[in-house]
Amino acid sequence: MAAAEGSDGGKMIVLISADGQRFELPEAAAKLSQIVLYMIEDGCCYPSIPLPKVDGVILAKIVEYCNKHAALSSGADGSSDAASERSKERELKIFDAEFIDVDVTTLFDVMMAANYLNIKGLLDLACQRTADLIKGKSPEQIRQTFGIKNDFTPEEEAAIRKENAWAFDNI
Amino acid sequence: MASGADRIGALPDEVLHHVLSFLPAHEAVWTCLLGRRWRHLWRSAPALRVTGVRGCEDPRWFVRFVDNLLLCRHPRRAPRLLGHRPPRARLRFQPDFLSGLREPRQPVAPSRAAVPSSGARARVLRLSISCHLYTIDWLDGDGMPFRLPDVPIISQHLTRLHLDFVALTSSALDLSGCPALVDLSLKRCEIFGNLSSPSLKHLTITEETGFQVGPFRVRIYAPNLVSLDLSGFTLRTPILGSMPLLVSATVKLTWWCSDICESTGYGDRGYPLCSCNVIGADDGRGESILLKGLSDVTVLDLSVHSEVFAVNRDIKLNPTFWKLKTLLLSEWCPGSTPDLELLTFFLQHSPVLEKLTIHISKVPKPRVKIVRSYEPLDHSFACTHLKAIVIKFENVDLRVQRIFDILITYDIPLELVNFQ
Repeated sequence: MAAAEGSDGGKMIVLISADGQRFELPEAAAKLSQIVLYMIEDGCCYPSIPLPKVDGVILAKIVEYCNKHAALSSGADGSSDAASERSKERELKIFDAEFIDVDVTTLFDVMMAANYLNIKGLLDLACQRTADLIKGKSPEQIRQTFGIKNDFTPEEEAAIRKENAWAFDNI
Repeated sequence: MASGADRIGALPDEVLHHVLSFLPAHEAVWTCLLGRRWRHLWRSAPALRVTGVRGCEDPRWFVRFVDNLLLCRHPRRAPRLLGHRPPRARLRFQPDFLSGLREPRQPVAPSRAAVPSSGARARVLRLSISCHLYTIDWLDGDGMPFRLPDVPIISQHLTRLHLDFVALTSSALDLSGCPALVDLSLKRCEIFGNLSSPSLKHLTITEETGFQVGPFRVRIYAPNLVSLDLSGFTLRTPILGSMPLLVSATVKLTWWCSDICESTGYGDRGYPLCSCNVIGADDGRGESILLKGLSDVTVLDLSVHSEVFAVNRDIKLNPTFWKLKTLLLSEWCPGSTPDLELLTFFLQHSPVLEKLTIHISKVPKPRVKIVRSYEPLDHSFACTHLKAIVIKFENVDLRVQRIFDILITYDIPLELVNFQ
């Protein structure tokens, strides 16, 4: 990932993960994170930005996401007609779908990092993916998917069902 | 698949809320069953998606669902409903229903309720956000009142609640979740539970609002009530709790009241076929139904059908009306024993009464089957503050003469009397 200088001559930003790994990416990509954007605006991004809450494996994914989205939305190839916009959108969609097709542990790490770094598009993507994993499943299936422990007593569970009967009565 | 550890539960609330906002609202609610971490999460989610909610083909179900969704939410969280596109072909709200919705006094910024459909939006505004006036007129023509879900109404801002043709059960009648509520009006409603509101100041129950016929009488707890209009109820007379701040009250007990005793007028089962045996008149026996609750009132307009026993029994408990200054006995009849007892009672238990108005009924009231004899009590007449007595009647007949006789019996100075 690391490069001495941006190929297009633009500024490069260096991010340091919790485990000390170094990631260099174009400013435009780094700015997708609100947190990083503020730091850039405040001029406190040099020589590097430490991100002690994100480990290297996840930060690598985040950087991959930001690079792809920044590259495809900046119109670097100069063409901006409708057809190419549509094809870029398609490409991003395919990229997003493949990008987020990960195990739940990675999914949550990405979600956590996207929340911390405040990358709206990525957070939406990860939350949508999580919602898709919940959709149409019974509570027990959801618990299995995410490793949630049912810590209700049977009486409590019955009480909750009763309390929210209005939402269940059409099932 | 899961690694065993509950990773998702470690995510901050805001992230889980965000996840919930991508689910159809009914599935968001279902997550309350997952575990303690999830139990109340959906209630405070800043956005819920009501598109694709299961059952939304049935407008009644859908309206109730959205109502519940909003009613059950955390009171401080103004909801934002996402992407609500009522499928027009499948979901038709009754135009009458919509026209009955009134705009809240303080409209909410459109950005906070991003619901494109005007109907759904009005409903959302009324129910949930900063609506100061919440009015339901449910006119769908099927003859049944709209049954509010049996959940408490919770609003920090609601000040006026007007319900028309609505059936309310116990939880919906507990209005302690509306600390700003001062004005409650029930019209053509059906009441199946005790009504309580610590903040209520004005209560109006009119147009044949029915109190349940069941083993227990409805109780009304409204300790801060200032005015009460109980002029249009049917079925069983409710028991009024203490109302120490009450200033004015209008109470009419008509023939539509179920507390009818055709035999003795006391609901004491003196006559085997009397209707008071059928409806369980014993409930509330030994405790005051109406008069004790009313006893702090300053201005009272009371009208009692002669067969309704609720007040006759209360009289025997001797509550004193320490603050009563103005009394209107409507539809009063000098030929009926209960009415004579009522007048005697107030003359003896209203020490500061200043103005008494007796509105004589147009037709003589029916007598109960076993005629109770009326015996004027020996003095102990306490009404020393009386300044005016007005007697209203249509035609001068023997009944007016009769009432005159009664007043003379009680040594009331006749110069105070003014006939109209």
